[in-house]
Amino acid sequence: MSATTKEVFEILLSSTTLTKLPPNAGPDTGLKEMGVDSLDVMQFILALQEKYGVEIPEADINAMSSIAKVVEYLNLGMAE
Amino acid sequence: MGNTDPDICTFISGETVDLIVPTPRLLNSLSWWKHLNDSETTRYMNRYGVFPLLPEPEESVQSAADEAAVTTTSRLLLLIRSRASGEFIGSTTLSQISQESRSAINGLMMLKNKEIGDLLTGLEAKALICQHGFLHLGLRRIYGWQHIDLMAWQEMITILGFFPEGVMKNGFVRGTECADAIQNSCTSERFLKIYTKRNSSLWPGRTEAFKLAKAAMAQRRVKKLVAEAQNREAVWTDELVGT
Repeated sequence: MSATTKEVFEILLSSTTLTKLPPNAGPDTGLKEMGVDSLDVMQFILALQEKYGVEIPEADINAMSSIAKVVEYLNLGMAE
Repeated sequence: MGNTDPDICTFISGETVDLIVPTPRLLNSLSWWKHLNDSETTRYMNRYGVFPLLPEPEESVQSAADEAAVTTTSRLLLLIRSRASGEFIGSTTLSQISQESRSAINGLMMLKNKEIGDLLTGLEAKALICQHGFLHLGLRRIYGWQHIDLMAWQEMITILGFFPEGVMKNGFVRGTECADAIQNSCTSERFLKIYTKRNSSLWPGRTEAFKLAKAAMAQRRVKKLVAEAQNREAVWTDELVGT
């Protein structure tokens, strides 16, 4: 099992207060720039953990700053 | 970050944040009043963002003096400053401090566009000011309420002993919006149990707090309680008026 950009975008929209993505938002767009706030991030992290079974520690929150980085992080975590 | 600014006086020092005394000069230099006019920052506050707040109290529809009134015995306001960046990221309050009922209301305002991990710093700020309230102001109960959309935050604050008391029907009203709110509280008895268990600190440390918060959110205890309360309301109403 591996995480895909499409799947992670779907999880972002279903787990947070974000109802739609801003125009031109892509995998490299920062979560902050997409309007994701710190409470959304907690809900997003929890949903990712539940879906992929990867434990995400506090020290890694700031590394997950875009969807592309989240996907990379998850796939590395699942490969270990 | 070293503190060499003579206007910055730390009142309570924490692991990742300091709570700073909001002197009028500091508030002025930070243009703090502007944050209270920002629609995004005040989205879940029914008191601000309705009439404009101005820097000088005599010019304001609402009094900016309220925000700096740390010298009163009924209100303690402190600014939250990141120890890593030195940035001011929000404020936290104990208001309506009553020496008769030994209670106070806790509030928290986080500024927009800060780091995505800043919710934990907000949680630490809440722990610090509430510990101060219980230990130094002798409070027996600290409480608060939030818009029902902030359910995840309600789940998170259970790790500091703030448990839901119930659903306030139509408890949040702002303009045309009317929504339920969830009231929560922590008592001095519960605080002392947690404080003792965590080696004389309500805050368990950032790493541990993150683990505990995720576990609390995964359990969704507040969400279940709210669903139960909302269902009960429907059932009891049906019993009274028939379906």
